[in-house]
Amino acid sequence: MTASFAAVTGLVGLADMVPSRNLVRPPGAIREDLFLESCIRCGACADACPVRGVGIAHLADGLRNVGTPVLTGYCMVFRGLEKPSPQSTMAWRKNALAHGEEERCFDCVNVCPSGALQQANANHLHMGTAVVKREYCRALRFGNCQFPCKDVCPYDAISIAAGPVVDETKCVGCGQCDYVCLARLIGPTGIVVEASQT
Amino acid sequence: MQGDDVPKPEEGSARPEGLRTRIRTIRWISQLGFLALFLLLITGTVCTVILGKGVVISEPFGVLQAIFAGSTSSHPLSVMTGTLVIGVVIFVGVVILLGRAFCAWACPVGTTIDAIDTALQRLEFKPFFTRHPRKEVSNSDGLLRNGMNKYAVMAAGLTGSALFRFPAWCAFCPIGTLCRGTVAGAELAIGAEILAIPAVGAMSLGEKRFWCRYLCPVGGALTLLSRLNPFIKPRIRKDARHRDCGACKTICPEGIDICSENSFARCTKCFDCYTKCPFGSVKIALT
Repeated sequence: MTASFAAVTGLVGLADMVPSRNLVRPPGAIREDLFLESCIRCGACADACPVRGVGIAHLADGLRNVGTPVLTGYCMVFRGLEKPSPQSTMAWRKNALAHGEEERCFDCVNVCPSGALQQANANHLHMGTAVVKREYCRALRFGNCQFPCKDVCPYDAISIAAGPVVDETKCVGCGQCDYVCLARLIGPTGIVVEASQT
Repeated sequence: MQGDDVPKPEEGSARPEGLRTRIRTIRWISQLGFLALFLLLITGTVCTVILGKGVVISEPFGVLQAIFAGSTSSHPLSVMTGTLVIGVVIFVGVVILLGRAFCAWACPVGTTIDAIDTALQRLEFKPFFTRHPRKEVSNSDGLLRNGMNKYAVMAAGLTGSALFRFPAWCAFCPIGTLCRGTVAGAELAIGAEILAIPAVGAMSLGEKRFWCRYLCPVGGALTLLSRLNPFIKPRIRKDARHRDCGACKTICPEGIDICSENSFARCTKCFDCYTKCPFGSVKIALT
């Protein structure tokens, strides 16, 4: 009995020495250290996401992250952006102007039983920050691109110089730019969302 | 639990002989139904099943781990929600009604072990070692075959949670691993994680349902709670022609000796004793 106790505790301690990666969390996630201790790894958020953007982290992401939700796809943030494209963002923006309001999604926040995703945080959304990858961005590699990343961004966070430039104060890390990036056709995308380092 | 309406032969005490042979089939249907539900329809794990808006059933060991993980933090219990507490209350209610029935009728890991076991029997696979006959577990019966081991694993999970500030057992739990296997986009669990299932299967080579009986902390939590369960327990018939032959000890996946046991907290309601007692001496008493 003591042996099993020691063995399991030791196993946890040993496996925990493998460093855990910082992951991009679904919207509304609380501070990362609190998130890791309060998330009960039920996967309800992944189940609730209407665009299947939330996945479940595995052992490769570090022991602490096993079973926690990670934004593997994109977050639609607003209803009407189920399939991100410059056209849908334009239509959504027109619609929002006409009706004066934007309906947010946040199904994952609403379903979370543990309080690891919270509505209060969802109102000041920050999942991560989009980062331009110089070696893959078409505009920076070949000098030709229609910049769908700029047009798709619901937050107008991307402006164009030689390539796309991300305004880090506006970007929430929804990953829609990544989804529409044209470099996806030939390989890795030129813009990816990275988790904040805190 | 949602979506599965397999009738459980709970009031099987005075049923005709036909039902006796069919219980295992009904249990297979229930097990496979729940397996399909948990693996294919629900993305997340079984630990917390969302029933509706704000209503969940949550498994108390996972919630306890989250509490322990938060206990050493700067904001202890800052995010524990009422939803989870009510979820645990519902879970305890279900356990009071059904005891450890989850283990035998729904648990995806139990189903996997049973399936491996049945396959090995059909193939007449002989392990290179002798299969350990099941017997009543004592609490000092050796390193692994020890009735208290699942509580040790539970304690270790809680200690690990408090020390390393995350729900530690959840990272290893075979039930969670199996359920997470198919997540959004049918992504497969990778690397060492997937070893949890073969390891648990391999343990059942030496003794049927070895994992469930000695090590599973979720089973431990269920055992502790099902002390409160007064319903559906196997009993020896009053008119039984034969007692104390010890067959039920080797039949029962938990090694319960029905003739002498008083609490039946460990009983998983699999009804194997009812089906397989060579003398037909076992009945299932509703209360």
